[in-house]
Amino acid sequence: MKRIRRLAASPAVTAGALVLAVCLLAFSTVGGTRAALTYYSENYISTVQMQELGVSLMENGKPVATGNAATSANARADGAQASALLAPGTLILQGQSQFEAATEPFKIGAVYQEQLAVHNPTDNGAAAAQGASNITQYVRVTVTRYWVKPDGKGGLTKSPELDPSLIGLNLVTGNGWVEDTAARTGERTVLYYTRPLQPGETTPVFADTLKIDPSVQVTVRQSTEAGKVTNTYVYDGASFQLEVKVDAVQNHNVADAVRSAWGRAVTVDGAGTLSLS
Amino acid sequence: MKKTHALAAFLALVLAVTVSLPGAWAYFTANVRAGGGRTVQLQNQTEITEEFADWNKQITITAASGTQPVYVRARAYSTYGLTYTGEGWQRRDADGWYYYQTPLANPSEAQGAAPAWAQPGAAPLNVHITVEGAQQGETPEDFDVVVVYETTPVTYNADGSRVSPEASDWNAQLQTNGGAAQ
Repeated sequence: MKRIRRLAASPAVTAGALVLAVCLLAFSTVGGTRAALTYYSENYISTVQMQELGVSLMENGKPVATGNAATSANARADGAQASALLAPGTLILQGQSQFEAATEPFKIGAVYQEQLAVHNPTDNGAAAAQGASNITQYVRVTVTRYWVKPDGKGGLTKSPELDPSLIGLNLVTGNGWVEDTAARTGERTVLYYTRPLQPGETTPVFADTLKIDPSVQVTVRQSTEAGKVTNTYVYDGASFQLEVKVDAVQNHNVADAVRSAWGRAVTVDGAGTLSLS
Repeated sequence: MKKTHALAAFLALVLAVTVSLPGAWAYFTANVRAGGGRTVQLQNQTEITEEFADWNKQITITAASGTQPVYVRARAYSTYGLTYTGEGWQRRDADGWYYYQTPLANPSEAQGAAPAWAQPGAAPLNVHITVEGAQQGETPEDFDVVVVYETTPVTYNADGSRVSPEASDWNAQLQTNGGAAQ
């Protein structure tokens, strides 16, 4: 016992205990610091989650164009002007297998499957790289139909004298889509989807078939020269053009957002159903 | 001096609020667009060649370059008896015309390849003239055998299949902006 007391009272043991206490204190501080870093790092990851709004145009079940405002550097800063056209698409206009051979002409009078819909893409889809979206949105589509002809310089020029109503895209309404009749012209039709579109959700089709009116085959321009009457097919060499533009807007403050982004007055009821004012 | 400080503080506040306004007014939007089209080719022109030998008139119809798919039909008129033979030609009893069952087409290089179900020319249609005197070794001083042929563009059913030549509209009237063409 005396030996133990002597040993504990020696300066060497006291100095050793001091060093040990300092070491313990230092290690316990480092551990606390590590724990604090880990704790705040998790919080930091959760706070950089960003909202993204993307939209896809679907043709016969396949995306033909996908865009995401978040991928444009100026999209957020420009607010209502923000938009990004990332993948200018081409409508295939070939819905049925018997029409798809390379040498098949476009068949006037035949009914082509042309199912068009809008999809709110998530990062689970194939279009993720270009247009992932993680918020609910409201959408509208603008369908434009017109004819063009070669301008003789290697390009195409619009032919307003040719009747766009002969480009028979059969629009479908009453399934959530409504037409803005105030915006209708001979070439343009604007449709609004009245329900909020959740991420990953696809709207019902707003168009299902395409048919060129057979009257293009009998419409001629007649000229007479030296008693000789010549009939020229008016639509020969003309190309019909079908364009679809999809606009998407956030689901918060919808009425104000639609008014600001699209210039259209709308109301939204408690169930989220949009109505044109 | 105090006024200057107050004014500077007020300006700083206004600037801070102004800078934050665009963010507050911003809405999430996105848009995409897609388009497509097809060219309508309607031009068609066919040529007929007639050869006569041994009281037999051979009719050959071909499609000129640039011709889109058309059906052809033919018949002959004469005071003498006529009999018809030709591979691919089929008589329709209701009107007496002979219809070639395969569409003719000969698109130009710029218009692309012809469809696999069309051909540039029809098989010859042979019209044999039966003359009683000629059969007995006599030759009449003159006689007429008038051959008439018509074409009409191939039309399609809703499912994309072709309307048959017999069922095609051979009386379709051309339209101008002012009404029916001459």
